[in-house]
Amino acid sequence: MAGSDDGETLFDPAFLRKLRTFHLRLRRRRALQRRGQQSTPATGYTREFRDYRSYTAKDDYRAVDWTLYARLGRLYIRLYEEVQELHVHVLVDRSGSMARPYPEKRLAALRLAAGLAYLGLAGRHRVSLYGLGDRVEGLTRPLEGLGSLRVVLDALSGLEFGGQTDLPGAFSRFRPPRARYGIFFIISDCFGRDPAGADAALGRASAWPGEKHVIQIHHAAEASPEAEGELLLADVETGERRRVWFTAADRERYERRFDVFCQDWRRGCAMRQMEHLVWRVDEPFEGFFLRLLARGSTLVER
Amino acid sequence: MMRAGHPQWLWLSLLAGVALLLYLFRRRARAVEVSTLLFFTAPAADRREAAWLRHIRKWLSYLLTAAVIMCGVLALARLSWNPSGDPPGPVLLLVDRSASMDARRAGGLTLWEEVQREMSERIEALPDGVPVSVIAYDARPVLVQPPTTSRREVKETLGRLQPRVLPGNAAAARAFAALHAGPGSGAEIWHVTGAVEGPGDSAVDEVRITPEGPAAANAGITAVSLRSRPLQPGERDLFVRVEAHGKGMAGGSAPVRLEIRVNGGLMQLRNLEIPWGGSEALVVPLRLGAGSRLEVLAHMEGDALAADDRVEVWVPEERPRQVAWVSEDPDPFVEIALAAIASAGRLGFVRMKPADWDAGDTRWSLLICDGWLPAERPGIPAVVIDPPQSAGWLDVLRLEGPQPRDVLRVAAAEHPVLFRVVSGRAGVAQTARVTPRPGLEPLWLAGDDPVLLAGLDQGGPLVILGFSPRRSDRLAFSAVFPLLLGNALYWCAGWAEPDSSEGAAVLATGSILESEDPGRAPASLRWIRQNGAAAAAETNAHVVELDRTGLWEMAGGRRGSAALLSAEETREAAAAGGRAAGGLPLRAGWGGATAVLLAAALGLLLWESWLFHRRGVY
Repeated sequence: MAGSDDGETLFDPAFLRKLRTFHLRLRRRRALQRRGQQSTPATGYTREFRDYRSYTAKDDYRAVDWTLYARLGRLYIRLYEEVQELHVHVLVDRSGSMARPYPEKRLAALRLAAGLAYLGLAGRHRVSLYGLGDRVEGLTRPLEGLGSLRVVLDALSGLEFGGQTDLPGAFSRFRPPRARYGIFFIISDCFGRDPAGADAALGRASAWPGEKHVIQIHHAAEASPEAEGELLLADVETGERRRVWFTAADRERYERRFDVFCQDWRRGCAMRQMEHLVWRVDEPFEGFFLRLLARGSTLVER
Repeated sequence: MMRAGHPQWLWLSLLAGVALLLYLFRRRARAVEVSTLLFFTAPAADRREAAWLRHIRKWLSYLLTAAVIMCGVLALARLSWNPSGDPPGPVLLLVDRSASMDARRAGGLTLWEEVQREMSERIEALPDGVPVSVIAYDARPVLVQPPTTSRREVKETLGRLQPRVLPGNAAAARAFAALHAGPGSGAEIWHVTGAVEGPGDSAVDEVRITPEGPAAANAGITAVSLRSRPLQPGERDLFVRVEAHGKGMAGGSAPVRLEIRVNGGLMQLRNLEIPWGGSEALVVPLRLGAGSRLEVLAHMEGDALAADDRVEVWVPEERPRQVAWVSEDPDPFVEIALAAIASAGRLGFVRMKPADWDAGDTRWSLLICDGWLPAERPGIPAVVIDPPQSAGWLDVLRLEGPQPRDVLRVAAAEHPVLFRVVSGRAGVAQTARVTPRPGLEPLWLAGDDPVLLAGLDQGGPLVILGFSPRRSDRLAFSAVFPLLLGNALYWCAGWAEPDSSEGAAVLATGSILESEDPGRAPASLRWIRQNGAAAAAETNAHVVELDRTGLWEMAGGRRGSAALLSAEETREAAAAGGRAAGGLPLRAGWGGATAVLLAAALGLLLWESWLFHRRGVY
């Protein structure tokens, strides 16, 4: 399925202006090989003076400010601001279930990917976009700077949806180099071939270098179907058809299975220190993003 | 070979095509696209079907539906089959409803009730599609049920039938049944009766159905006649014949008590010992007043049939019958004898010349032709005395002169005309030689010539005296001639049409009475009960059938009585038991498929439901 959204659809300029006050960060400090533009709460070895602190035995004595010692007779060390370069990986589920029968999921995923990519680019991080299906395919080369936003939008607009989802298989074959340590955003409905495939998929993803965030997108009708009676169900990914007589009791069973499915993903993420967030597309995009902010894990206000 | 009892329903088999249309244009399941089928109840692996299997199942569903419809249609059409291929012929029930069918058997049921029960079972056992018609008969056969394949209809018809107090005429019924069945139709006649089959009853191929049962006993009155004694006003002779049949036929006798009641009061009582299978006739002299109700009752312990145990008779009023005495030259001895007879008050004589005789005059009950012969046979009983010449209906050779015949040979001494006549004292002067006609019986013979003949000629009684009384010295001056003439007149009068005012006729049930005014009013009959009440039997026709026993009276005043008076019915009422039921050759191999088809339809429905709908029931 060819995407038909242009940049204006994916981006709301007014909303992007709001995003300028946010930047991406890692939850935990980590010594990165490459230094970048992101300042971290930790001190580093840049030339940007940040503060003084009393010397302790564990500190490097070369950081002692001898001039201040001469004046005050006490040992203080100088603290400098640390600036790190992150790699932001955005994996967008491009399977058929993201576009049909509810195209709102596709638009939501693209807007979310665009927003995250924008934040990454605005924070002077390297941003990589991937298409996620039965395997992970790179959509762009690692991008840097807001000048690459056009490339991001073009890539997302041209992203075709179709095929099946095989998260365990795709995650096992995707091995980003450790040099690209950063933040992984997995935007998917997580529907696969096996309802119990969450554990396997997350087990593969846990080996990726960086913090992982799973944003599960689904439609309200996927959580609770409204149709009743004799139905000829057609799976948009596999094409499989199944004739069922769907009743209220079946709907209850369906909802229970769906809840269990979501809980499996949530539990799997929690076990692997991953962030898991469910976004029902009937919730406004801005509201969801603010909720993402409210979690305070990935986005911080400058 | 298969056959449909109600082929008109077969067109409903087109409904199978409707099922096909419903299948082709069935309501499709609503197609719904879903992101994933993971959360819908997934069928077990062994319940997943391949596309070709689903296709087969759909067609199988249609075929089963069509088969259910066809089973229902064929059951409605009453399908039956016969491996041998012989088509079933119709069945004609020839049901005897005569009086003997009301005989009570040893088990407490009447023969009719047993027949009803057995017939119901046999009709149920008939193959479907076999048309059944019913002919009921007593004195006359009647088609009461045209051919039908509805068993319920036949049983309702049989339920409406009841035995009638009428004698049965099985021969006429068989002939009617054979005519109704038609030659070559393959129809099977089931003769339902309690009568014992006679040796000559095999003219019609039939299956006789007689319920089993022990022998019964029955005694009944089979003949009654009330006659006035000649020359004795008010004196009457009651002739009664009683028969006993059934139990103990091998020997012994049946004790029968015979009661004679007049106006309800017992007048005479006779205890009879009648040999089983035999009869006893007796003449009971009675003195009865005109208009009395005479009742004759026969009682026997364990009597099977009540209809033949009672006979009622009106005692007739003795009004003289009008007798036309036609003569050109009346014989004085005839006149003397007639005067004596007229004094008894039973006959009235009118003398006339031959020129005054009118054959169409209905006043006359009898005709005396004295030295004269009419040109045509009179329509009433006649006594011919000294015929002068031949006529077209009687061949007479007139002798040259009277031939004295002093010795007469009696040819039939028991004939009523010779009742108490001492023939040995008689001598006649023969004047004519009469050629005997069929039906006329010589009573006196002079040599080879009959001089006295009597009998039924052309249906009417006729007495011919071939001699001249005035020239028969030995006859005229004795009491023989008045007695002979009186016997002749009374005998002829007994054959005459009953006078409506006389009312002494005892008719057998089943007789037909015509309206007394056939051109205008329909026949109207009143049955007089023992308590004097009347039950009217109005008809729209000009005839009425005597279908019960007792006294009756017609609107015009004609009176009479009806009684069974059938020796056959009395005998059959007793002989009905003790005879094994006739074999009923139900056509082996013919089987009704209705039950099988209904079971198949139900089975197919259950199978189809199990195959295709058991997962759809929540």
